[in-house]
Amino acid sequence: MLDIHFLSKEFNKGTPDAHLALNQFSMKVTDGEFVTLLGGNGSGKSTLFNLIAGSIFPDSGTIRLEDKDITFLPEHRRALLIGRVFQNPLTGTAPNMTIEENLAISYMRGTGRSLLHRTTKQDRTFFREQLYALGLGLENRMNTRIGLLSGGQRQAITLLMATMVKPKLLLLDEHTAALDPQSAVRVTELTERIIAEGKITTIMVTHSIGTALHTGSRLMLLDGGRIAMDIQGEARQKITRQELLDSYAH
Amino acid sequence: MSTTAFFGAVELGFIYAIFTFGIFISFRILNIPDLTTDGSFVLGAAASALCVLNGMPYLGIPASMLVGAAAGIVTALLQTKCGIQPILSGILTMTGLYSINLAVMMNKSNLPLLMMRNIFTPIEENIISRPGFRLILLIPLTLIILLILVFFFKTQLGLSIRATGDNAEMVRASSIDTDTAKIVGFALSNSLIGLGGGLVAQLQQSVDINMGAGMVVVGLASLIIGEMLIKSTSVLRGLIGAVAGAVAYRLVIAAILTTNLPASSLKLISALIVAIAIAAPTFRKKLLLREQIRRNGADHA
Ligand SMILES: Nc1ncnc2c1ncn2[C@@H]1O[C@H](COP(=O)(O)OP(=O)(O)O)[C@@H](O)[C@H]1O
Ligand SMILES: [Mg+2]
Repeated sequence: MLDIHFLSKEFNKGTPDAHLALNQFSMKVTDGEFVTLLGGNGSGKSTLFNLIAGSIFPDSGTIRLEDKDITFLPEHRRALLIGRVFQNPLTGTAPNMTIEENLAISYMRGTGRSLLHRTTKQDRTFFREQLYALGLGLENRMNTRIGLLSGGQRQAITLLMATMVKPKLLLLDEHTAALDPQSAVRVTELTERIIAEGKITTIMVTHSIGTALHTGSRLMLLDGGRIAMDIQGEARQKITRQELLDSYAH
Repeated sequence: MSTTAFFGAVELGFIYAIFTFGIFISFRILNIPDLTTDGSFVLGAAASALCVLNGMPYLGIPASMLVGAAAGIVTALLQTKCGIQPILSGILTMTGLYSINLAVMMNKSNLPLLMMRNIFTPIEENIISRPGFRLILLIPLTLIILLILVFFFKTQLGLSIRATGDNAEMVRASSIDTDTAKIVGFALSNSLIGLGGGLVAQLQQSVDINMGAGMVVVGLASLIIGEMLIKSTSVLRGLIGAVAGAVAYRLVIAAILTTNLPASSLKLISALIVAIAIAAPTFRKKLLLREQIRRNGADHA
């Protein structure tokens, strides 16, 4: 499914500020797997996501998704396969466009329609159902500009946009970190439900050890651009918070 | 103001409305200041003039749009594929266009089109010849373009262009190529600017190599006046605002011309309108803040 092979990325190469953000990093994620990714600030989590999504390109190594080498595929082409939600709720939606228009944009992914296609009645019904499933009452506000919504509502819509057309891979980068506690809980629940229902292959960055332990099927810890821990199944069931914390500060 | 002056201003207003649609697309929808305008306006006018001189005035409409679009594409390519800053890209195209415009105008700085048949001639001959007769053509033309634009900006391509101006990062994460969106947007914007120039040429029955100078500011002034009249919360409202603003702007200009102010002061006045309108929110904020500080001070005293 996702196969990353010896991926390296150095920023500011050849200057005093040179920094190896990702160091010969390799990992394989199988179909339907839900990986939670932990790691201190600057350990390379976002860099890894940027490389997978094509926002930046690596110095060496390869990324394969569904047996296709995507290492240097342009970002917008990769977006057909990869859904992404960022930490900042402002990043994922167009504030001056309506909820319906935002959904229509993400719905373009892979529907193969002509450029002059306009949102149809069926599309609208589908959008309404999807919004209804979020349980936030947004299905009655399809013509509201997104900029008028709260961070939590925006993030829920971004999540919907990233998954409405089922992606091969979903990347969540601390997507609840900027929300107030209540919204964070709601978006987290939503995330788990959507991923479970769609059996979406996911990598989720989180700062919460609790979340990392109790969601998903596999836990990875990143440190200095390398994997410091990679556990699943029984090992993951058994590990304690303390053991995890200890491996952070080694 | 005389009836003739009034209707003259309204006629020009509807032409400038089409031109202002173009400004609206670059400045408001794509959110990119595009200075190609001063050049693409004259290019459209020159192309239209050539069609008139060759006895094919109607061809002037598609011709001025086509050359305008080409100019827009050049600016967009400089920006997206060559990594040149938006403002500089526009300036480069505009500067280059000066030479091209002169060449199109057969190296004359002025092309008179008097006595030539233009798109308005049949109306004058066959329907009416009262002041404002050109509106019979101009109002439907403006409305049709408005409707096409409203339709277009609801299509997938149109939505992509709008989103590119609103949040480019989000667009890249949703499989749309922002470069393509910008190229199409600039082509569309400048095709309307070119058409504006082409229609002005046929209405004023002349083309001057310098007729584009300061047109960006004129367009912005119209846009801002329109936004004061109609709050722009959607593409439709924005475009209706552009029409209202362009007509109001021409009427203001016509009114100023009835005073003793010299016609040469118009550019200064346009610049002032834009500067004041853009500065107003900043000053309002400062005033409010000062007021608040004063009140807080009073509370603590
Ligand atoms: N565009 C960039 N230019 C220079 N350094 C960068 C850039 N992006 C990330 N870095 C550096 O790479 C390291 C890893 O960053 P990042 O992947 O964002 O960490 P995190 O795990 O907190 O998401 C950090 O030291 C960061 O400063
Ligand atoms: Mg990060």
